[in-house]
Parts: sequence; structure tokens; C-alpha cells
Amino acid sequence: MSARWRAPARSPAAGRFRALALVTLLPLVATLLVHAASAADPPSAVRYLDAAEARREGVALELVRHLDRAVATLEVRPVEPNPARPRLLDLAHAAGSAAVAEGIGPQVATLVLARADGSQLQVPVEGLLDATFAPDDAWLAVVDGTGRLWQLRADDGSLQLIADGPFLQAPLVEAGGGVLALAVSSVEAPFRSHLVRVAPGGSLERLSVEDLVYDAQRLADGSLAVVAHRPAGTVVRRIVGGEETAHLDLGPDAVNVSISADGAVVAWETEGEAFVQVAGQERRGLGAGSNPRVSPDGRGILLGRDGGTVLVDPTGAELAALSADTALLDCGECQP
Amino acid sequence: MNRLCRSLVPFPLALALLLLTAGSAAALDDYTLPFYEPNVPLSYGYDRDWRVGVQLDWTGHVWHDDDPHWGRSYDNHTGLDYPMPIRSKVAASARGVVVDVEGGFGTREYGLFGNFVQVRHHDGRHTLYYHLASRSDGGIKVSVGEDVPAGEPVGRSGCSGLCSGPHLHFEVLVESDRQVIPIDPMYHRLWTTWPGRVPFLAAYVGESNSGTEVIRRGRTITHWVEFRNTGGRTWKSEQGRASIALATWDPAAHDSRFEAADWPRHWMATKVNQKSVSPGEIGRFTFGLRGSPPVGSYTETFNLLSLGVSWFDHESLGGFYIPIIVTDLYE
Repeated sequence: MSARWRAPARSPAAGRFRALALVTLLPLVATLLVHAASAADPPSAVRYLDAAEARREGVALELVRHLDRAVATLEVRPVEPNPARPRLLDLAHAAGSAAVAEGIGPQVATLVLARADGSQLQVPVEGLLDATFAPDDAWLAVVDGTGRLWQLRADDGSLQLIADGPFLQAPLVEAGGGVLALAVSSVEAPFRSHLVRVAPGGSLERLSVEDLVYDAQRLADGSLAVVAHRPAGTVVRRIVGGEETAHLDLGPDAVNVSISADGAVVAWETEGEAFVQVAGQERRGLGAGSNPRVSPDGRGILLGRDGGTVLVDPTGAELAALSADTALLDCGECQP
Repeated sequence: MNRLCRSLVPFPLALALLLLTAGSAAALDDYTLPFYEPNVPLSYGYDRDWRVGVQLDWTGHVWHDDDPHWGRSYDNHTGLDYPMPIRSKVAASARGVVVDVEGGFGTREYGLFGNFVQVRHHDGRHTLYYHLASRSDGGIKVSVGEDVPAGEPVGRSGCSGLCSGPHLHFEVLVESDRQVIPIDPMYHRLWTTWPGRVPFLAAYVGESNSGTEVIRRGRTITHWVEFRNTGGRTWKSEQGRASIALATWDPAAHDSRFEAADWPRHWMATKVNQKSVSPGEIGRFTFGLRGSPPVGSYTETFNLLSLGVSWFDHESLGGFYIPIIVTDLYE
């Protein structure tokens, strides 16, 4: 899954959104034992590499900010001779670390917390579907290959089971330690997906009435934007103070939806063609593109295109061509 | 004389579901495989035990990495995986109404969600066809609300979603307490070939000795058994996928103590004698039995196997086994 921008979990009055960190997953490094969920024994063999060690082993990554463009972005770049193509899962809210994977799926994988100083924490996991930083960046919510939800400490890579699931995605970690996740019918063929809040003790609270939720985003006003599939088409719903209302109807086959922080700009993809709708305007095609990601201020949209990433504005005009995995930054006071 | 079988002990959940669906037993035979190609294998089956770290194959036996079991499962797998090339036709398994479709993901788009068709059938069951191609690539051929006859194409296969290789993920679900929950189609024998026959079934016909085989220790005897092909597919004996073999059972594919020199594998007694046995015809299996174990009384159970595809339904064979006495005495 490409990088997503997440609004800060704290009060929107705070206004400032810190740079996200990228985490890169390294290639499979070991086969792990399978454990019973009730036993909740996480995989072992966490490794810490300083910058020099990472370079020597050919797994070094660098986080490169671009603040000279209309929209601030951050690229994850493998450092020669690292051949990996990192897949950005999430960026830490504070500058300095990122969660990256070589890929997602039920296979055994290594989740890497890559830091701005070049060091890395390599954490073997039993498959990987998603990882999301907590607001204080002290830990991550990680969904493994069988859909179990774990708490991963960012300092030492230790894992603790939160709930068995299966879950498919951990879209948001809340300040109180709860995790908003998608509880699914199955990991492989999720035709049912309920947005739930998983409390630190593992109890579940369903948040949306929708039966097939694809994603959820926290907006700047503290509401939740919920992207859901219905037989008639994809809808965007908004949850404010527990009340769920309609926001936008995108029609059939609209997938990989992304929304600006104020909810005014919505982008999506249908079979490799990207589209955008700005509030009060007609929807517009953006041309070929996959996995659109709208910048927090709505001025730019990242698109996968021709094996790389491009940055376009809401009219579709191309602003920049970037590497394969790039995230958007919301840093009102970012320093170059 | 048919040998009585020992049936698998059903899991409590499966038993409960079986009771729930008992009233619609007549509908069981109406379900067909959701594709047209006759030799599509089953790569992964339904996770019957729902225990993390325990893998049962579709026969119910614990599967290990080096075991020759096909139709193995993996944790939390709720359906059957059938490998097939991209854009293979996918058919409705029974008559029903389309209740949901998704066609917006790319045919090969790897991600958390993929394209699918969900059909509700007249007996209250649902079937789910997942990892389909994109709509414009022919992945979706039906509309929500459309009535589809059994065997009608609903779309084409792809590799959308969490798909590491092109395949169709097929699920059967039952309505229970305002939700639909998956059941194991293999256990409930819900599937048949198109148009309407179980692919791998056999009925006992006879054997060289239907009583107890007495084998002198260290010696080998020859035994043959005949089964009638009562399934929908022709048996073959040539090398490769889908050839039919007689192999040890209970547990499946265990190393036999009576393995003779002519056995292809420690657990496989022989392949069918004839090059080809069409449905309705009788196939003969001829193999040696060696008196290797110590003097005593034994039982060796066998089942038929379509190599690389699936085991036969052992109950349909009458639970075939051979009582054996190993002796030091001359006859």
C-alpha cells in the first residue's frame, strides 16, 4: 500500500502536522515459527543496524524531503547498492523515522523502521498487511499476514498482541491507544469489512454501519471520512461525534480513494484511470494513474504512473516526477 | 464384499452447520464447480480447524510441509483456491441472484481488496468469486440484481487483491443470525463437475481376495482390486497431473509396512492398470503386498487419489481396506 497522509490525532487547533517517517521493509530474512494466537508469542530476532552497518549490508535507505515544490513530499530512496524497492507504509508524525516494507502479504516479512540518521530497526513479522504509527510515534499498530493486530514498540521492536482479528488494515491509532482497524471476513477475500475501534485490551466497537469499508481517514475537523463499497457503487461517509452521514457518492468501480484534510478534494481510481472531485466543481479525469493520494491542503495529488510517481494538481497538470515511493508531507513550518 | 469405512469425525462447527443445512440436502448436488476447464487443481482448501499454526488438508488430516497432500489449507482461509490463467471463465455455481460486484481494481492489481462477484442462491446460500479481472477486462459479466442460471459465466478470473498467483478464490457461505458465514464446500460435498457429476468418485466392484490375505513373512503376493468410475472425470494412468493412483489412507499417504518392490512410492501402491477409464467403466489396480512386518494380524486401508488434484471420497469406495495376516507357517 502506498504512503497515505494521516491527519494528526490531536486537536485540529494545533494546526501543525509533522513530517511523516517512512518505514521500509527489507527482503525476507528468515522463516519464523507459527504460534497459536492465544500464546501470542511474537517472532524474535529484531536487529538494529546503525547507518554504517546498513550501508555495509546493502540495505541502507534515505529519506529525502522536497520542500521546493508546491506540495511538500518525502521520498524513500534505497542507497546503492540496496536493490530493494521499498514500499512505504507509514511515516512517523515527528520527523525522523518511517515504516517501510518490501511488500505486503501473508508471507513472512521484515518490517524496517528506517530513521533519518540512516539507522534501522529490522523486525521480522509473520506476514505483513499494514503498519501505522501512534500519534506519539512510540509504537506502531501492525497487522500481520493472518490479520492479527500487534503493538510494535518503535524503540526496541518488541511485539505484543492486541487482538486476533482478522483485520486487514490499521488506518489510525488514537491518542488513547485505541486503534481504528478494518475487521474483515477473511484476509484473502474480504467481502465484508467493518470499521472498528480496537481498545488496548482487545475489545471491539463498531464505528460505521457500512458492510465493506475500504479505508478511513481522520479529517482536520476531527471527523472520520469512511470510504465504503456498496453494491451500487463507492461512497464516502463522514462520522462526526458518532453520527454517520453521506459525504459523496463516487459511483461504481471507484477504488483507492483519498481525501484532503478538509474533505473538499476527493481523488480515486478506476481501473488505472485517476479522477478528482473538488467540492463545488465537476469531477475531472486526471489521466492514467493509480493509487491517488491527495495532499493535506488539497493542492497536489500523488499518482502512480508508468512505474514511478508523479505529482499533479487538481487539474491534472504534472508538477513533478518522483521515485516509486513518495509520501506527502503536511508541514506548515517545514524547514528545507 | 465391501469394507466398512471409518468416517471422519466432524468438527463441532461443521456439524452445527450441517444440521442447519440438513433441510436443504436436496440442493447439495445442484452445485457445480465454478469454472469449465476440467483439470483445474485445488491448491488450497478451507481452514477447517481455525487454529493458528495447524494446517489440515481437505481430508481433515494434519498437513506438513513435506507431506504429499493436496488441497492443503492455511490459517483463516475461508474458501477454495483454484489456480487458473488470467481471464479464465468463471461460472455461477448454482442458480441465484447477484447481490454484489466490484470491478474497479486492475486485473493484476495487488492490494488489500480485489474484484469479486457475490451471488445469493435460492436455498439461502451465497457463493463468492474473488480476485477477478477488472470490469473492462471481462472480470465482471453480471449486474447486481441479475438472475443467473447455474453454470452461466459471471466473470473472468484475474489476480486482483491479495493474490500471489492467478487463481480463483471460491467460497460458499450460509446465512446465519443476520450474517453470512463461510462453510467448507469439500466437507459438505457441495460441488460437482459441470454439468452435474462429482469429479472423483468410485464404487467397489471386487478384488482378487475379498477375505483376509495371508502372507508368509518376507514373501510378496499380488493383489488386485476393481472400482467402477462413478465420477465425472476420466481416469488416466500416464505420468503427470490427474493420473489415478491407489494409496494408503487413514492417515492419508502414510508409509505402508506392506510396501512391495513394485510400489511407485512408499505410500502409493500403484496407478490404475488401464491407460484410461471413462465414467461408468471399471478400473483395475494391481499391486504387491510384502510380508515385512512381524508375524501378526494387520489392516491396511487404501483410497484412490487423483495425483495433484484431490483424494476420492473414501466413503464412496465403501471404506476399502485389506485385512492381512503375516505368518511364518507354510500354507
